[in-house]
Amino acid sequence: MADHVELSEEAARLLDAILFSEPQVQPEGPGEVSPSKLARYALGWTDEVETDEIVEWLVGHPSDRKRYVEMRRQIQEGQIVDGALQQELRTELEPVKAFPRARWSFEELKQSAAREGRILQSVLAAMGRRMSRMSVPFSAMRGGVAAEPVSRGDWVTSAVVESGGELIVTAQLERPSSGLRRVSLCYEDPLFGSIVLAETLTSDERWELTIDGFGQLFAISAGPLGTARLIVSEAKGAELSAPQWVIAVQHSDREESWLTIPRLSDPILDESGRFVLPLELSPSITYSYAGYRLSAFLSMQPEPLLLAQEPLERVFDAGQISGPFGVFSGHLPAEAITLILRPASWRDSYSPGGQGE
Amino acid sequence: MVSVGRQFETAENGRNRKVRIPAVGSAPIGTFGGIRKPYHQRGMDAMVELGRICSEDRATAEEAFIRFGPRIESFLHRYLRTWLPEEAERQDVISDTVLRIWLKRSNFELRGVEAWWSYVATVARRCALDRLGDRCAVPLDVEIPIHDHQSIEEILRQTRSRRALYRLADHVWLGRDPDPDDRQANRRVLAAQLYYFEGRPWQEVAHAVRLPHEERHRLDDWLSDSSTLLCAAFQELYWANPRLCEALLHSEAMNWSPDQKQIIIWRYQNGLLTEKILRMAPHLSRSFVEETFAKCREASPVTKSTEAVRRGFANVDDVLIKLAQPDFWKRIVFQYYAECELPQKQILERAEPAAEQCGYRLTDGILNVWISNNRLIAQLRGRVKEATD
Repeated sequence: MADHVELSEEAARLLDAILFSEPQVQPEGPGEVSPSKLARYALGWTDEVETDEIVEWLVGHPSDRKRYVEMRRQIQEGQIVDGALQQELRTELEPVKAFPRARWSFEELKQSAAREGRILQSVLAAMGRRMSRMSVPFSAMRGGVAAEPVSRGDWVTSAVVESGGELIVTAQLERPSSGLRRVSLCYEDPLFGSIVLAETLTSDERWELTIDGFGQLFAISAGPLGTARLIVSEAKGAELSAPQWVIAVQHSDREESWLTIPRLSDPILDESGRFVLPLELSPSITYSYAGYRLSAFLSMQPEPLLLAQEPLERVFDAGQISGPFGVFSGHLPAEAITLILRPASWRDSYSPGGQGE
Repeated sequence: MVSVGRQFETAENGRNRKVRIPAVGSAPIGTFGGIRKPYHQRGMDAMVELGRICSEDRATAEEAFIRFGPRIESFLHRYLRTWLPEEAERQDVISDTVLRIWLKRSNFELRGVEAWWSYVATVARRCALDRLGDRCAVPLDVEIPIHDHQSIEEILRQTRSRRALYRLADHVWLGRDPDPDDRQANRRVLAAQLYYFEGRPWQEVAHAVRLPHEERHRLDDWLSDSSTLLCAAFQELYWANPRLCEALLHSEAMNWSPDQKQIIIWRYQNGLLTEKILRMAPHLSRSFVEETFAKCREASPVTKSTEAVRRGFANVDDVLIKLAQPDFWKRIVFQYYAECELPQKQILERAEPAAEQCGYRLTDGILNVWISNNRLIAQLRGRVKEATD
């Protein structure tokens, strides 16, 4: 140990004066962290540089660390009362009010995702998870009612997402009786609606197309894609199915399945900012999932926000699920809502594709 | 454009004459000519600035002196403070020294940063003797062995900023990895604070330090690393001036009067001694000031935070043992000394109750050895020497 090493008295005095006369006016550490910045950090929205600054700040400022912990508690419990958190969420949610669309084109979606930020991006990522993980045919999702393509002679034969993110689709087309046909390729999502991926004028029986940026937009990695929800039809437009809610069911054996129920109306935030979503559950679903709890999340990156959480039986009785969100009143787009059903014994946290612990 | 500086009466060459020197006192310490420079550049720029000060070109030297002057004054305050405790007297000697350095700048042969400060110190001792004569306790001739000069140069090379100095202190007394990756170190410490002191589950801790759940094993490593936990304890038990002042002012149990609030700020934010406070606010009585200090000790948040640390580490025996050993408290004392520049009595007032709660008896005598006898500085120097030998 170096403790015995002596420095002459004058050397120590000199060293002390040199070291500790170094100006301290400008602190080396991070600047003060504003409540708004702390809220963004708690929501997981800060970039690497901001995160480093805030982490350093929190290490040396226990009172702000406690405030951060309280913010996280509010986020996890879906009861946002902290003013800075409310303000950040309000700012983020504002552009989403004009969000729902009956029919999107792929290009519009790409532009909007770049412009509108976290919510649309996370909605698209959730859609991507539905695309990738849906092994059952699309028709099965609709409770056994088959989704017939508009034109029986047109169908997608293969769809593959390449490593560069482009989607390569091959479709078999009905031979036109004469001249050219205008056909379109749509992806039909049970929750989001129909997205027109491409259109073309053709007289061929085979259509091969590449859609750039598909994997990136929907956060899908390379690999084959199920074709059941890729619909080729005359360009008059795919027939939209009746709006539905898709509920992800997470079972105690860590398997996951999907339920669909009719969408009666969109969710609202009432005057007190309370989240209310009318839901009509069938007695058979309620019976099958007795002891489960239904949670409604607002799609956000990197983690969805809990809006409401109630036992399934209570949702059945009340005809709605509700919770004290408290950020603002008004419309919330149905597309931005994720419904998850899981055993009541699980923790509250959202775990996409996983399970609570 | 060089600003016009102060004028000094000087009796050099047997007759009085007026000398103008650059206005080094006009810029606050830590700013160069009023423009702040990034902190990390300042140490590296020292040699460059000193080279300019010694330049034959007067304008270049003047500009450099304006920038570097506050640092010289700050050094002299620190260097002379125990010999010349009276501030006015010390300030006079500092003014003389600054003037003499400016006038004799071309005589100095720049051989290194340590040599420069050694030269400034020698000039200061000479000025003190010239001004104060027999009343002066400053010795004229003091020897620094050659190997000590080398040691000082080495420490200065390795600790070019306060951050580097504190990192070295963390390494020596808390066992922190000498790797200067502050980003990782901060994440580790925050993880420990959230887990042990705030009782957050690991998923929540991982979110805060942006660690994917798949890397839980890394989090486990962090949370079981005793140097990380000691760093976390240090952050909790070190009460820097602004933190302590804020905690006292917002103490729920106390209903401070405006005078008491002012006393708290002077004492705990600015580190003023009772005498100075009484001079600044003559309407206050000594007993009122002392009584306020006593109430502050009652309201002190130190006991509560120490309890929280001990509670957090209740099942981590290794850390509890280290909290009862001198190294941890050396680190705390060093920070009070270096960053807050507290006098020994105030260091004891802040550190002793927490040390006792943790099982270590910190006394005035121990502090005397650590601080007045420069044991802490020597220990840092020893570690630097070990690393370079």
